Amino acid sequence: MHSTLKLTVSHAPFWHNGSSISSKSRNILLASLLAVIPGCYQYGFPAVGVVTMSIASAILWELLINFISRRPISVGDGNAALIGMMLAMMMPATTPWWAVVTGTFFAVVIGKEIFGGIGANPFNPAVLAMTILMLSWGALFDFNAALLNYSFDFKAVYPLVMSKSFGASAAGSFSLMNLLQGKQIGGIGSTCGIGLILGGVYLMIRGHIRWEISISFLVGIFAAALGFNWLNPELYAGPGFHLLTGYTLIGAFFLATEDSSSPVNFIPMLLYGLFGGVLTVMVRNIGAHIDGVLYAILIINLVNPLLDKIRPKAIGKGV
Amino acid sequence: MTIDVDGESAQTVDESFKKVCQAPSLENARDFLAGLPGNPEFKVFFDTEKPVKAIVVLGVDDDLLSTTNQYFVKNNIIAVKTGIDLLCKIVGISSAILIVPQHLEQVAKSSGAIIKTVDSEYPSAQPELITRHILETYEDGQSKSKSGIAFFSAEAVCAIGAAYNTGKLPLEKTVTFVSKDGKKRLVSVPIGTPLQDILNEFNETLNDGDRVIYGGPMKGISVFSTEYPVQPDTDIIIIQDKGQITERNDTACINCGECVRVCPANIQINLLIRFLEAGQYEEAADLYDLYSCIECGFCSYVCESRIPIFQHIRLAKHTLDSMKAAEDTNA
Ligand code: SF4
Ligand code: SF4
Repeated sequence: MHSTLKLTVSHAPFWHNGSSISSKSRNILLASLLAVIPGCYQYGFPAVGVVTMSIASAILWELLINFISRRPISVGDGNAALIGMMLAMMMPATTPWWAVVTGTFFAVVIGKEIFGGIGANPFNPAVLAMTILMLSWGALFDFNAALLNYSFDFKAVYPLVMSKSFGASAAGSFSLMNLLQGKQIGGIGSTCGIGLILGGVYLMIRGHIRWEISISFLVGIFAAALGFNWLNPELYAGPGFHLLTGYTLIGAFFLATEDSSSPVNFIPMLLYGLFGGVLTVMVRNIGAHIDGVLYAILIINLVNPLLDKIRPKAIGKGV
Repeated sequence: MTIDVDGESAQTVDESFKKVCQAPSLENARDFLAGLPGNPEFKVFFDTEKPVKAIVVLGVDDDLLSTTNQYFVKNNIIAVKTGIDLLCKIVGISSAILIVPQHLEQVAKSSGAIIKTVDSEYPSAQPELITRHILETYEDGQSKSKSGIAFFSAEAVCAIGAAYNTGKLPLEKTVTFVSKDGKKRLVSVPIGTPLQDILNEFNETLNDGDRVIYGGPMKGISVFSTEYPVQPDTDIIIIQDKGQITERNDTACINCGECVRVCPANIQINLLIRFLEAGQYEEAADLYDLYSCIECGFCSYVCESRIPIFQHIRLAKHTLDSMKAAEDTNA
């Protein structure tokens, strides 16, 4: 008997837990909206413009690379859009369009595609791009100058500049409650503490980011800031201030947790986060730069492959 | 339920076996019993380099959904005991180890074997893990790779017992049949029954694109025809509708680490897969623990990129093994 029935034949396993890259990207994008929407509300249309421009140009850069390298179109996985979103979240609402497009070029092309695309980038693409932008066009990203034309009902000074120049007493003039509610100036999606925390908690619970990294990063910041504050309470702001200002929260939940540039084993994840947190506070307090999150993340990205060597032995491999 | 194919009882009377069954021995077990339900393996007993130190009877199933072996422990512990006693006698070992899930511990006690339990979570019942975790405490410090362990399924043990006691070779294979709607049924069919007969019995129709799996969802094989016969080790047959199938693809690994966290063998799959995809199998084996893999399939199950990791692993092992075999024959 010859049947013409064509059965599907494939390799085990025949079940899958249903996860996918695109659903992960979708979830992270959704979670980031919790911080981005308040940001757009605060800064109005220019902010919406930066966000859409950033996402759109990131997707276009990736499409272009797909096209040039004749590889399958990969923008469907949402990763390019996510990179665009992350970059926009760090930028001030006043960033000119050409800087946004250059930024996404650095992120998608230099930060990711050159290394072989998704999963092969040694650094977080958005962080790398933002760092290059800041080093190249520093004035654009001086939050005090950039947001000069806005009037707010709260103190319109970039908190980290205050603490850097005037010490802990200046930092004390920001109420933590205000900082938490996003009543501070900064990047479009990096100031609304509540939104970032809620988004981060959602992502940790759903397993889209590794909680070990986020939590240890925050612990690192807390511990280091506490230490500095204890050494010299006049000069160094306390942990609450460091946790709620600059890129700390976006760094902990959205940037340091990027898959490709972070470790996957338990102890390395903890070390990675802790190290990043401590480094951040060190740059802020004794380094030359205003915010240390981006540098700290690039450095922990760099040591990630080394850290990830600390791991349990595979079975059957002696002791 | 039992499916009777042609009205005959599913046993064969082999005259030459009838002659020897009065004097059970390893030799005649090897010669006559190899194709019994549960697929007993006697070859290990003839490996002079690795003398068999222990007999382990698996009253657990090594894949999800399957209940065949637990069924024998639960409903036919006497037959299991008969089989174990016989096996111990012909091998010359004082007692066997019976592995059961926790909830069957009480029932299993009456078999007189040494009882060890595993938890019911997949993949605890993989023979490799059992060897490692459970027998570790049992053995007296001797390195396990050297001492042979003979594994038998509970079903195979029952079949061996029945064969010697009746002089007839049992052919009834107990199969868990899972239809498209997810319903599980335990059926007893003669080995060699084509799938179509089972489908007819359950009024299950197949369409283009559906998938038929012999073996469990994690480790089975998918077959290409409904003529495919039930094998001595087919514990479970699963029918999947086209719509239930997850597509695999060849996206790169995104380093999410899900696989690393589920792997019972602690393999750094996120690194391993990069070498496997590049076809660098020797590096994979030397540096990235390819041979530690116990083939549970978990990594593929959770992979966010939906990479067929398990397939890459088996292909790599197969390629290396055949290269080695070729070298050995040329040497
Ligand atoms: S199949 Fe995958 S998860 Fe299972 S042992 Fe092998 S590498 Fe680890
Ligand atoms: S689960 Fe897949 S994508 Fe994630 S690290 Fe493992 S191989 Fe890579």
